[in-house]
Amino acid sequence: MLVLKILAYLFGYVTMVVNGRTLERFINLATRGGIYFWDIRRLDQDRILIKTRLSGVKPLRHIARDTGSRFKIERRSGLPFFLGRARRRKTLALGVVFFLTALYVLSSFVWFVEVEGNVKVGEQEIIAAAREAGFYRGAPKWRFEVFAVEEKIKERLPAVAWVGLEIRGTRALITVAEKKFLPPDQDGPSDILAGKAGLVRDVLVLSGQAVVREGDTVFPGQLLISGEIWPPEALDPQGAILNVEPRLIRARGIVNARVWYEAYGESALVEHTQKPTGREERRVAVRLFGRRLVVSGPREDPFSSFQTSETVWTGPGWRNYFLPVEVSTTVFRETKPHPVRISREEALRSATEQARGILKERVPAEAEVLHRRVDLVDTGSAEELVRVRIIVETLEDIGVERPHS
Amino acid sequence: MAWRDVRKKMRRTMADLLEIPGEIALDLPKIVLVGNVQVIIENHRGIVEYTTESVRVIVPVGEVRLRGRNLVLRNILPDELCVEGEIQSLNFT
Repeated sequence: MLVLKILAYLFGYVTMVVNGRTLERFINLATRGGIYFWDIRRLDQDRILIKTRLSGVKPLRHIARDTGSRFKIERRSGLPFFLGRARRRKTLALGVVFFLTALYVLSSFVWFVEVEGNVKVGEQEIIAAAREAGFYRGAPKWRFEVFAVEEKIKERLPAVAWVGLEIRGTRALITVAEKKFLPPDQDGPSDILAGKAGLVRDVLVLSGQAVVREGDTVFPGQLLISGEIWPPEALDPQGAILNVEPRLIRARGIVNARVWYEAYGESALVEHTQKPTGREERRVAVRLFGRRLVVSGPREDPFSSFQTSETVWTGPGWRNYFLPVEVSTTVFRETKPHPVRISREEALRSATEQARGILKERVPAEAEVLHRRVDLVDTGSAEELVRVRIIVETLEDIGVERPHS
Repeated sequence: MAWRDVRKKMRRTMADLLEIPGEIALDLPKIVLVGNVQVIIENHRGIVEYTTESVRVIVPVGEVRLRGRNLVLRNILPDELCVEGEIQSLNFT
């Protein structure tokens, strides 16, 4: 029936009052003649209100004459009449057309340009490069090609590895991926210093002048290989100081040294844990616009030592919109201290593990471990504690390059 | 007269046997009542009377009479009729 209603609207329909003595006959004849009536309502003894299609009005005249009734059109509805009215109200129709046209025309321009992903390349540079390809704020969409703009930006800005131009309605998003440049390989004069304390085992000089020898003990920051090369005449045995300048080069080489690392780990024999007693309290609170209201349960913390668990109900949300109401239920479980004795072996293992963890962070991965020793440190019998010390001896390159000042 | 009754009976038996809906085989009206607010009569032969209190419709087996208040002919097609309003009774005469 909805289809019939829609069709009626499209083709136009009229509401009419039919006046006559034999209105039932009028309806029967019209229906049999294929004229569709609906919403028939009796007004009084010899008047009814009917709705019928525009196309049915003409044949109804004959039927009305045959049945001795008259009809008067009360209201005209539907698209044809609407259009007719619109034709009379030219300004309004023009306004509608103008609005739709303006909407269409304005939506075919790019009004917002956003640049994303640039770190070193300036936004203005990217926009300027895009402008050369005919893409700018306010540009009509048919005047540029996405691919051409991307290519142009890539061509203009060598620091850009990839460009994506995405147009969403009137918004354009330029996504940029920049090339990652490696730090330039500095080739100026430099020295090699000790990065950490150690006992030098061997020195391999590739360029420069070795300052330390095998067996030397070095401290952090001590010069190992110097980038200053003095001409031989400067080292005159007579001690005469000649006016010569050293040649500065970049020092390179490997200084392998034995390095010691030390770490402590400890573990108590008695572990103090908390054990629930079984008593618990429940608190329900409502958070409303940032304010918190306790609905039921204790207002303050009910026990001296306790553990809590909280469940929060925030209500249904949609995207970034959430209800400003939040109901949180907090359960307080009372606890009491519960010392747990652990065995010596267990404590030892845990202390060793702890010390080993510390060492793992300090010893570089590439260092060769020569020796490892685990000592039990005496803590005195009073303390219920197991303490261990691990000493690791490694062989590693301790040289650190520093530019010559 | 007797012959017509026999024919009618045979048609009914056949319709039952073949499970054909009665309104097709026997040319009966199909009347759907929706509560007391709507009546749909299919296979009607025209209306005899229409006022806000009473509607009489000719159907192949006679006449259907509706009584009620504020009755409106919601729809009228050559073979279908829909009446809405506060229906109080429906009679076959």
